[in-house]
Amino acid sequence: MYCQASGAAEAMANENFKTYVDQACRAAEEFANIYYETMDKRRRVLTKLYLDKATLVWNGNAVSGQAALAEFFEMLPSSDFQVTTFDCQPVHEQATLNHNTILVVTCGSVKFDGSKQQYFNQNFLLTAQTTNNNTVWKIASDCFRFQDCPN
Amino acid sequence: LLCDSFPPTTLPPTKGSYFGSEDLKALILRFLQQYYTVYDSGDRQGLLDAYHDGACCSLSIPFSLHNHSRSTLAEYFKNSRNVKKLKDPTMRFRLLKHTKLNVVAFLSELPKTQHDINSFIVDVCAQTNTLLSFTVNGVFKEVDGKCRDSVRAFTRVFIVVPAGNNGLCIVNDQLFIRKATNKEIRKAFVMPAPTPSSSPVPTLTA
Repeated sequence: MYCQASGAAEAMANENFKTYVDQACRAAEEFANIYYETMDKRRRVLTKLYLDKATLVWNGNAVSGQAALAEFFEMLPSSDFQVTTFDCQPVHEQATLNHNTILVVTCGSVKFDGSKQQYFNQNFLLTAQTTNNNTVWKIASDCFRFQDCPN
Repeated sequence: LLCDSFPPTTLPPTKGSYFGSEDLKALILRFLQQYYTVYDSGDRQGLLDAYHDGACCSLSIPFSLHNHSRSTLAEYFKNSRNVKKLKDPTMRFRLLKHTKLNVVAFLSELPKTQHDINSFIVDVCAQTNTLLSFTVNGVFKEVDGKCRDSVRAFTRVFIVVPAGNNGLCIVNDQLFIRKATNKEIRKAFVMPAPTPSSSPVPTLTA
């Protein structure tokens, strides 16, 4: 009896998790497309994708808050990003106090104006902002690094 | 004319590790040293203590990023989860390892390794009362099998929650493994590995 009940509970938990994974993948896919296109082509509205108190660590340089982010992205040379790979995971609810959050990691290459093409890794924590049944994913944190340049 | 007066934009200089505070630095370095001591020990079952019951883990190999990455990283490819290329929801689900037993079973099947802790560059990405997210970039070599002594580069994101005794418990783990560049191979394992008895906290690139 107990085994059956716990088996059913486990199956349900697994089914819920599967739903979260599916949701995370669809959100990550949409986000990766929008983020890099905005970065490359509409840089001045990029900070709209970030929460007010979002943090960025860019090659070891820490930036936080909308105003500082806007200043940082304005200063950054124009870019051409090619994302080849991304992965995502639902972040455990114990870490987020049940605030629906996903981890998105990306890698690819980027050519900044005036620099040679470089490979990079980047990761984001996205949190769901739901208003009127409409869910928008916003960046809570962003961490970017160049890979070592190939010789 | 006005446009001419703007200074040309340049990339900000690349810096070393970003920890945010000395306390976090000590906490994370201690965690990494303990984690990789077990990870590189030849028996990864001991990592069960490091993961939350409901932890997730996945591995990605960059798609056609470097020439021949497919052949030299063959051992990792069957578990590579690239959501950009992988459209089938069942496969997306299957390649995300969930619950600590599955995570540690998965990690135990990966090639045996030795990590160069001196190569690590760590960034603290996010911190709240309930969450700490940090990225580790570095190199390791395989110590067994047909790729013995091959140097690989990796980028790994850990999301951890506070645990007892000032410890950390991993809830999310995402690992990128790629071919190391010539420069990375030349620099790998140049510094002697820190000995746990004499220096409990290793000095990383800061």
